[in-house]
Amino acid sequence: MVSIKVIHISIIIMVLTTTVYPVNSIRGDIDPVPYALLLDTYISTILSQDLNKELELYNHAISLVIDDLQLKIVHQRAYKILHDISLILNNTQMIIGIGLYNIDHDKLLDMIRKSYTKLLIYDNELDDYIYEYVKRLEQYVYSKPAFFKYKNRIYEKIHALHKLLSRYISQLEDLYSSIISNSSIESLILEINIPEKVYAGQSFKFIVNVENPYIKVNDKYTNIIMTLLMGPYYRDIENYTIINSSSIEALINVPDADTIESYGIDIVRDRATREFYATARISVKIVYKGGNNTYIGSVIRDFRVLLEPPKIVVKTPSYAYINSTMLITIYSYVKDPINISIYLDRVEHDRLIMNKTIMYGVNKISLNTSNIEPGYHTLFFKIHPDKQYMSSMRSSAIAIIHKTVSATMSLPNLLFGPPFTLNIHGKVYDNVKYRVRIIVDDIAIYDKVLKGKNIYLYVDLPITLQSIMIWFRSIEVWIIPLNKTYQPTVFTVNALSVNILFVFILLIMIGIVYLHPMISRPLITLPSWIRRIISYRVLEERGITYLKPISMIYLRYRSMKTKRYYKLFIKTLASLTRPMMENETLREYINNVKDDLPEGIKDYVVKLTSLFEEDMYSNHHINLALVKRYMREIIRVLKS
Amino acid sequence: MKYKLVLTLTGVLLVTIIISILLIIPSSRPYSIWNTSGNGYSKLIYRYGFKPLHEIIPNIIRQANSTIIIYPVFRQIEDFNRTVEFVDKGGTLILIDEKGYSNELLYLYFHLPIIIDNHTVYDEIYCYKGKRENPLIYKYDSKNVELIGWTPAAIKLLDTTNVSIIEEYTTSKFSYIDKDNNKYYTPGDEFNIHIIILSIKYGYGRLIIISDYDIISNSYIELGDNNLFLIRYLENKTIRYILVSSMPYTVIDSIREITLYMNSNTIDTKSIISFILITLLIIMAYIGEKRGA
Repeated sequence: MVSIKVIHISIIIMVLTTTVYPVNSIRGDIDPVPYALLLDTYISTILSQDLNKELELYNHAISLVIDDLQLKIVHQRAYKILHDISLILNNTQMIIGIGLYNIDHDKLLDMIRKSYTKLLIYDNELDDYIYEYVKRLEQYVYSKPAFFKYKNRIYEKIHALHKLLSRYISQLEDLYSSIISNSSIESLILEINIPEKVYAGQSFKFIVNVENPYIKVNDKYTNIIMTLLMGPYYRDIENYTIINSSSIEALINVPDADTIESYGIDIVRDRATREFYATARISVKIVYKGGNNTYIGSVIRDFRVLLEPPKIVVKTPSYAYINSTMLITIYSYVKDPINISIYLDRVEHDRLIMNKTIMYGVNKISLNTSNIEPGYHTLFFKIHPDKQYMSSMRSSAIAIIHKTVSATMSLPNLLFGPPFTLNIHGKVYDNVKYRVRIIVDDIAIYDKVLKGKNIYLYVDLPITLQSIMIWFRSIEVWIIPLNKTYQPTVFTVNALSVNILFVFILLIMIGIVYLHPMISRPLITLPSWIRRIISYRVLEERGITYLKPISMIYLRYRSMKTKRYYKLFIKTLASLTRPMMENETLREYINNVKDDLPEGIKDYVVKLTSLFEEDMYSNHHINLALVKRYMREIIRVLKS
Repeated sequence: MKYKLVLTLTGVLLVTIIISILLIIPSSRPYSIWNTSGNGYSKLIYRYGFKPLHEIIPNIIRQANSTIIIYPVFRQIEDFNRTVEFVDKGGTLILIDEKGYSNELLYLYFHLPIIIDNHTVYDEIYCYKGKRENPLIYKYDSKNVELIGWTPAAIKLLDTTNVSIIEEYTTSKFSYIDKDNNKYYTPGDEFNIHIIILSIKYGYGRLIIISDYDIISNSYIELGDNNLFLIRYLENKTIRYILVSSMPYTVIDSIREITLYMNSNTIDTKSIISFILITLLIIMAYIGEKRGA
């Protein structure tokens, strides 16, 4: 029996534990989207070959605290391979670039071989590492759309990285073959002059000068590769011309703000100059074959692509009426047309009110308020990026209100009846149809649509409890315009309603009460009763009469100054005769015991008695020294 | 007579003990200046010498140049004009608000295009001990100063043209405003560098807005560079107040203020004993007078 119970209990416990602690999914407290963004940003820094930022992000990514060991392993593996790629790309760039052509050919070939092999391995392995990491992150996904957005961006960047690796591989192949085929490779010294700052969306020309003497650059023997790099964005510069034997002129089109923002290129603000900029890089590589020699040179220059917040001022009225047209003024100090989107309360697609292209100068936009709920709202003006002008946002608070119908109304303050008739005279100044609703004591008594500007109404009030006697009645007159643009106006008054019949009856009643002795007598005697209860004392001072109840006046008795001597005196007499009785006054006690006292102290006893009485019952000053002297005399006599 | 005396003595002693207990026991209310635990502000009082202030009075405005006021805002602000006048006349005001209660003050009275968003900013990547609730807050353009916060809100600068910013402290670009309050990045949340601390020159004074109640709390002041951050603002500021008008403050808290004016700057046993001794002396003097009569 007991064993069955144990089995039952254990089954119950099993069921309970399985329901309370279900086998949970792998999702813990990791938000994978920021990890995806970190990876995306990290690959961008590799693509833009920003080594300092790459190293900073790598160190941070490797030191991240990740509780899931599996995720931590794939996370660190992915970042390590990317970091290695960054290092090998930098190394390859150095091999391809200037400065290494003076070293031993065999050593250079060895370096090329090593870099080449590594690049091939990384190009092959990169996908596996990244996909594994992204797949692992995906298991923690809370919001799929948010993660997929960054997942796609990562794959796009990985694709760009593959392209970059391929370019470097092919460049190394070229270099290797040229070294094998030619015994002599020399470096080309290139000089390039580009401005430090260029506005986004602009084009500019720059000249590449070959500084080596005796080298004549021409189309036949020269291979020129020029690239513009901005993070994940890169373009080959194909628009160049060889202007003379040592100079090449190239035209470069800097991407506009829209392109920069869509590629997710970092826009930084310079605290000193307060300029917004993105960093761009121009890479120029020239291979020149002259006779048996191959001349290779490359140069890299960074410059700032400046962006500007558009100087656009938006002015909106602080309020607008419903179902009307609101006028928004936009002052544009931008010479070019700018696209602007206006949103209500939130910058989301479903809150878009309108798109508009604004021109230089004053732009006036009319906005219909019919679809906007009355109340406080915020208008967001999203300025789209264009040329050097970056995207920007303006906001403005606005109250959507009803128009108040303008009207005057005269309402009575006093109503006499019965019958009670309400005379209303008023005027509506707005040219609208309206409904007049009269509410008396929360009861609607009149509700009609009226035309015309003047209101003359005579409305009979219903007989209610208030109208039987004298009472206040609340009267509300609502003017409700039928046009929804306007909001109703209300006039209220608390009118005193006087029922004449009631007043008449009341007067008669008072008369009866006053004349009939049965009622009038007690009423007449009432004041005297009150007077007995509360007595008054009338004080007259400086011609002003004050009334003060006598109960407020009380006597102030002071305590006995001779209390100590009095107690001693009674004590002494008690020891000689008998104690003082409770129902005796001092005088009675002395008179009763006087005969039993010794002759020598009798005079002093009489004198002291009168002194104590004076102290007890009067407010006179008492000669304490005299009391002390008499007491001493008594004690002296008794001792002798 | 004896009965009455015993009753009076017991009453006085009880009151003394209750007051003593009230003075000794710290508050447990979060962000109370009398709360000595991690989530309190007591270090502002005992370590940095701030004194509770109930209202900005004209005398404080007269000494604005050497005054710093920390103003934690936990409910709607009532007195706007004196606050603005204090900063305008050269005072330093550290406004701490995570919920946007001071938006009206900033927008309508300071006329600054600044809004405190009452949604939490999380950072999964640049955070303290792997907790996204603890974002690291850096001085803009510099990684040297690193503050640690707890679920801060973001300060939105609507227009930079008319604001003279002295310095700003921001989260990393991997932080986001959690608009739907689910603690995860979801569509609609904003990945961006978010301003948490903004220091502005206003009139002759300085206004520092901190959108995190915890940065200067007892436990967080010890973390990162939070302590250094506060100390920098205290230079040359001899008069230090913490304005308690917009934070929960009870009658007991007001009684606790007595300790600041006793014999030292700390609630220690010495001050409590001296308080009890003074009370006992008063009782003895009272008894003596009675007997003499």
